[in-house]
Amino acid sequence: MWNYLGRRMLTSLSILIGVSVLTFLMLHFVPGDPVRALIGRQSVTPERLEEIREEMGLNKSLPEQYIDYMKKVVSGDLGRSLKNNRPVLESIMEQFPSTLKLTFFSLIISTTLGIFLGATAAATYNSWFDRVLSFFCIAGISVPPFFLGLLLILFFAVRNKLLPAVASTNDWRGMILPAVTLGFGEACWLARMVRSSILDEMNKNYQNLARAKGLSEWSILWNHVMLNARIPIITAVSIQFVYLMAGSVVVESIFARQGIGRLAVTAIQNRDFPLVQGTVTIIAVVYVLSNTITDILYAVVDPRVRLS
Amino acid sequence: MKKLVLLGLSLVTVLLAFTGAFAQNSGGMLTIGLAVEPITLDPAGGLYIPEQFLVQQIYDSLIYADQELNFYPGLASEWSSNETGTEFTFKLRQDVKFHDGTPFNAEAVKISMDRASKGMTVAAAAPSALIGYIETAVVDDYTAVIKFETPHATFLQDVTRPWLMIASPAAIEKEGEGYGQHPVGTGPFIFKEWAAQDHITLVKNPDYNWAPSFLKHSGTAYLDEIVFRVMPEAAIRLTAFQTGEAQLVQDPSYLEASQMASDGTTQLFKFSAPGMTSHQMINVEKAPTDDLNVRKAMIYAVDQETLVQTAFYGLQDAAHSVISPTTFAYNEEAGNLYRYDVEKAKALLEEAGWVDSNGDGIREKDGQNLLIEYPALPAYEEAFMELLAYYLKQVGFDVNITKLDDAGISEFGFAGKHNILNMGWISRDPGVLSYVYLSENIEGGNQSGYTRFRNERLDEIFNTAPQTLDTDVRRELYKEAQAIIMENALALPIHCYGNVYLAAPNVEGFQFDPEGFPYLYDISLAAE
Amino acid sequence: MNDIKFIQKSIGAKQPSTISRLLHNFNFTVGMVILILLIAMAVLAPLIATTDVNEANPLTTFIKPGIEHPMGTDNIGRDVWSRFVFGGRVSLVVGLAAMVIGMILGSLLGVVAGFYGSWVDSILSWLTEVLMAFPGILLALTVMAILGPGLSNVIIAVGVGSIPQFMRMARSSVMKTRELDYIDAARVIGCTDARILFIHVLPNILRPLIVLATLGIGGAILEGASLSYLGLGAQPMTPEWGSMLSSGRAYLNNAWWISVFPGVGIFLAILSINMIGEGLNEVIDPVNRQ
Repeated sequence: MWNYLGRRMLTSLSILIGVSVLTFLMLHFVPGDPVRALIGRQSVTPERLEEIREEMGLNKSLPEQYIDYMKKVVSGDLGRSLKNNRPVLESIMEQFPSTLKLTFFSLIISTTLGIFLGATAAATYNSWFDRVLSFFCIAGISVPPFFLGLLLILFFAVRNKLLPAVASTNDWRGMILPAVTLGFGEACWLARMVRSSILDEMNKNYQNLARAKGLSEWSILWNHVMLNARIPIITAVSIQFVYLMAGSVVVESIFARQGIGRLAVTAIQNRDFPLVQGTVTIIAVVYVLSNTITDILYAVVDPRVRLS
Repeated sequence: MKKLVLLGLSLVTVLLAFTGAFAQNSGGMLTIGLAVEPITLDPAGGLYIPEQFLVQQIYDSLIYADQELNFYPGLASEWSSNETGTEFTFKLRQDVKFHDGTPFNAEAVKISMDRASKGMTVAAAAPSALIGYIETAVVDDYTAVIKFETPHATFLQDVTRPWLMIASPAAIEKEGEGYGQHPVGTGPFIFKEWAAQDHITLVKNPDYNWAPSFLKHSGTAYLDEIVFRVMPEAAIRLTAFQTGEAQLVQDPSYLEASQMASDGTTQLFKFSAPGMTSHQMINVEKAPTDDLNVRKAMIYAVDQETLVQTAFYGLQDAAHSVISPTTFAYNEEAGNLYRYDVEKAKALLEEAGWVDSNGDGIREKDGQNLLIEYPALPAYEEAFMELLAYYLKQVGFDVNITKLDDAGISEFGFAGKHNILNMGWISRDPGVLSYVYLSENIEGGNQSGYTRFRNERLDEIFNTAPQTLDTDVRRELYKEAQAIIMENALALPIHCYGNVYLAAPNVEGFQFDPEGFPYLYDISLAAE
Repeated sequence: MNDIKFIQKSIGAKQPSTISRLLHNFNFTVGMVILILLIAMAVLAPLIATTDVNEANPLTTFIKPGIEHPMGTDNIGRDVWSRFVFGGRVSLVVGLAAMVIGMILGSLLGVVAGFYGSWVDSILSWLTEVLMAFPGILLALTVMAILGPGLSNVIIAVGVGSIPQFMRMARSSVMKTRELDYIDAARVIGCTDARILFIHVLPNILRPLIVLATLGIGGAILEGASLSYLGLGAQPMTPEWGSMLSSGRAYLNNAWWISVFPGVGIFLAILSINMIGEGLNEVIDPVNRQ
């Protein structure tokens, strides 16, 4: 176990180093003068342009710049936003809780809905309900979040005024539409996954034994099948967390919600590069860590993984 | 299974923890839908609309101006200037305290002016109001003298603007670089919190007793609390207004706003801002707009009246000159030079040798299409860029729109690859024209001289007018500048900037400052 | 990504009955029909569009869907139907082109990594893992931040985002093929590496890659449309479903058709491809074969 853990950590570390190199290099891939890209459409004298270049250390060699950059990153200094001069880390820490809230809320929706629908579909395998549900799930996966969000806003906020479209993060009602938008596709994906995991288990022989013992189908489903199908399902749920996190990039923009995804998108639109570097780095780090934790959890519940 | 249940339980706990904080509207709270989030609330760092709107609720200026630009005492009870217009003396009120309890005095004025002259963000607007600033002399605790190298004809007007409002020296010292996120002023509202991308909250200043006399009441503000919600999309601001989530919204989507206002259930406030109009600067160095006739044809080709009706549902006024009619020294003659006339536009193009010989609807000359390169910034131009292209195409132009961001536009423009490029700047004084029409700014300066037009007389006007103390002479100078710009067809005017606000029926006491930003001090909410 | 598993299964499951079973599969046939209709619409766009896509007219704004304008007109009087059919062309081309770029670059890297193994493989695999550390949309957004807005940049961004999955599949396929006897035989008779790679290895791994690319088009269309929705993609004059939907939002209450039709277009394009994938899965995955 420790051996596996060590190897997994080492891999993650090497990936994180790669991530840092890529985000660092980002600014230098930009065509044209990075300083001009940095300041935008403003009145700036050529002297000030040089000053900014000096301040940002853009006249040093690349490896030197990378070392400077990493020194700062490790000490928690991700630079300052070009637009408002705020420390990038501070902005990120401020936005992160909202994204976490939204992700958790969506996770609850997608997990409960996904497991419920998937289990029901499996229990009624090959019935008309199962077929309708299967089609519904493919449709659900295919709806672009920004289109679903638009329809939800149109029906629930604009037309019927049932729910706020853009409530403050403190207002739980405002969480509903964004969370459904974010979680819906994942719920459908999970439902398919749960259905097929259960069907896999159902095809195994012990079901027939249980049936021979005279247990009801529902009792078999809940007491035997779900017990064994839980490993793939737990993994699926933790993978979902990561996908939802990525999805929040678009969903936060649709609903004008506070959050790190929207911070990243606005930073990209403004070409506020320190902020772009910071948000992209943090999202990637969270992504890598979540994947690592998922893998480790998987190894904990399923000993075969450790040995491979 | 146990693990799953545990996971579920902990999620429920997390959920409960944050649903607890459920905001309730109280009688004295106003929620405002803000189009753009401010980048800072430091007067010396602010750049544009969002900062201007919020800064003037939190801070006071030394002098106030009403809509007709008459002066009223603010933090200064008296003021005077020397004869050459280089020194301005302010006698300060002695009973004013900042929100943090620090007393207001001449030292505070000095610190704020010093910071404003430098500008606290790269983009700050403040330094342009303090060109030639030498220092602020603290004569005694309540007398400050602000000194300039050259005469500053518009300084007293500039003092009334948000960029030169006075900030607490103690807070500046304490917050350091983070001051812009933790502003402290003397104004009617105290800054409470700022959750970026979500909201900014201000609360009533219970000690406020120094409102300028032209406002409708004195003492403290009526509202207990103001929440500025950041809602970057017009459709969303309108939805929030319709659902009652916001009682006052900035720049709603115009179609719906005009409909709602017409059925009388909603209050609509509109203000046509002074300063540059939103216009296309025409590049005189790049073909085909290097030809005066082609430039004139472009201006004749556009029907601004219908364009603003279609793009803004009449909530913005059509423009016919480079500055708006509400600006000081507006030249009516220059504004009447061009009116929509398709035949005249076609005739001018034909005169210039552009004819459509192959029948594709686009004119050619020497095998070249009559092509206009138009880099556009969707944030400002989305509403009309395609309509503009439509009008130009009607007389035989081909238009290539390239959608770019801020940086892209300035790169494109500086390289001179454009034929037309959008410009506009709200300001009380036509002096703002020099930012983009002074020839120094073509290669050097702020590099925003996108017409690339060089004219000695124009430069002379822009260099002398700001130092000309005689108002009548100054007015004539700026009128001449407008004439030069329009006669040379350097600007294709589109629309005047209109500030549009929708307010719920119970919002009372709404009024604009001279640049079209609301004062919230007088606003109260009638019981429903 | 979760498609990889069954595609690999599908390689081994080449049976004569597959095609006919596919044609009897609901998901596969319905998906195919929708996709063919969309492709036909895109190809025939100039014939079925009723007006020029950019013909603005201040006099005909916000007309409801009807006989003259099947999908209504937008805020500046352009015919939504004409923009819709041309928009489909743009969106499908973006999806297809992005996948072609991703497939070529990804397979190239994967083939090199899988064929040479050792340190080349380690470095390239590490690079893939690093790229995979960025969620797809974020990677695409980052590329957009670097290149600036524009439709061709969207294609590059989405294509780059898909490199890792192609590389992984190409690599694992090559590693399997490499061990086969005929490759050894080719080596023995003195074939060059390039010859072995292109003549012997590549044709054998091409099929799963093409299947992966085809099924990836749905995701690529979605990503491309998302970028345009966020204002980073199509230029204003270019009709594109994502940006059409986005710019129509301001008029949602009064003129839903400006946004909703392009949204339906994106949905159908993705749905058709997902249904085809699901159909393949049902026919080939043994669990479903009962």
